[in-house]
Amino acid sequence: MSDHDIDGSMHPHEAHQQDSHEGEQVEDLTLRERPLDLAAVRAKLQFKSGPQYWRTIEELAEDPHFEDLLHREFPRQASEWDEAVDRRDFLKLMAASLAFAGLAGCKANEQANIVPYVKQPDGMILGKPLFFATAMPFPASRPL
Amino acid sequence: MAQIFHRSTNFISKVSVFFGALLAALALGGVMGLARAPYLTNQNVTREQPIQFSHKHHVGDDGIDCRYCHTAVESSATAGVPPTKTCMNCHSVLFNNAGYLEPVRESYRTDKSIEWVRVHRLADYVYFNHGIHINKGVGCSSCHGQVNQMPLMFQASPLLMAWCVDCHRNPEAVLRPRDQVFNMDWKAPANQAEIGKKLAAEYKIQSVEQLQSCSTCHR
Repeated sequence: MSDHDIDGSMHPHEAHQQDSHEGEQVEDLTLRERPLDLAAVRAKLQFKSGPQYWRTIEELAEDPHFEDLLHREFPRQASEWDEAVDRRDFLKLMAASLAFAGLAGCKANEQANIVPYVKQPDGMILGKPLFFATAMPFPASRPL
Repeated sequence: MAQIFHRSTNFISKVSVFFGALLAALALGGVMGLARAPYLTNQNVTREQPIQFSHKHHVGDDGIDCRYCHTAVESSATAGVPPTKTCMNCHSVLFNNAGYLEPVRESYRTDKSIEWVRVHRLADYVYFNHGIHINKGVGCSSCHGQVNQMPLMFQASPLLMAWCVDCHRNPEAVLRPRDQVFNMDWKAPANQAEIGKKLAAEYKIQSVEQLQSCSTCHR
């Protein structure tokens, strides 16, 4: 880490934001561990008017911890694979592949060859199956 | 407050609406025209074949019946391309030293097929059956043109769906008596409407609704 304060000290919350997977004891930012200060929320909401839309009380209260959580997208233990193809690029490539696969199927004036027999089997009608008797029933008194 | 748009904008917007519509119509027409053009339908495109086989010579000059080579045409979905053996029936004796027939002899000697270039090609989603058309009085030349006048084979019809449906809507116009089906020079007589009706009844041709049903051709 290069952007420490000169004396090396860091605010614990800041440390978490910058480097969550190096610390021994990872601070858990999931909301369960941070009970909502309902009085503060009420104070905040007091001056709001008109319709409000929210998905969680934390979002409504504009809780900074919650916003930080949203910002990091993957809350716990998950880490993004920075170097390789990530999910979005992967989807882009897949979409492009499908589109171009469809394009590759478009062909005009493609030459096709007809390859007939040299000597056609007897009794064959081209385009129809030719059935053979593969077993021959015979009466017991007369050998085949 | 000053006007945001200059007065001329009125005129420009009207003109651009007109030209926008014109451009869209031209583009649509262009695409539809291209789909019907020989460039995409392959109509009248003569193909280079491994052997310069002339239908004009064999059918027109020699008078060989279509079915001598295309044996399956009456009973199968496909007319069938003849085996090399069929060529050699005659050409083991006739023109048996001709240089341009060497590929035929080579095929017969080495047991390797002659690779003809396909001329007529229908889309895979069309179920077309030669046999039913022949047996219901549709002549070869109605679709394939006058093959007895084609030195090298080409596709005489566009083979578009619209072209198929033209005939399925009004089959009476092309129905022939049975003995005329393989006649390359058949022309519809003056009283074809009358004859066609009679033949349609005789061949028990299905109703126009049935002939136009999707599943008649797309199965």
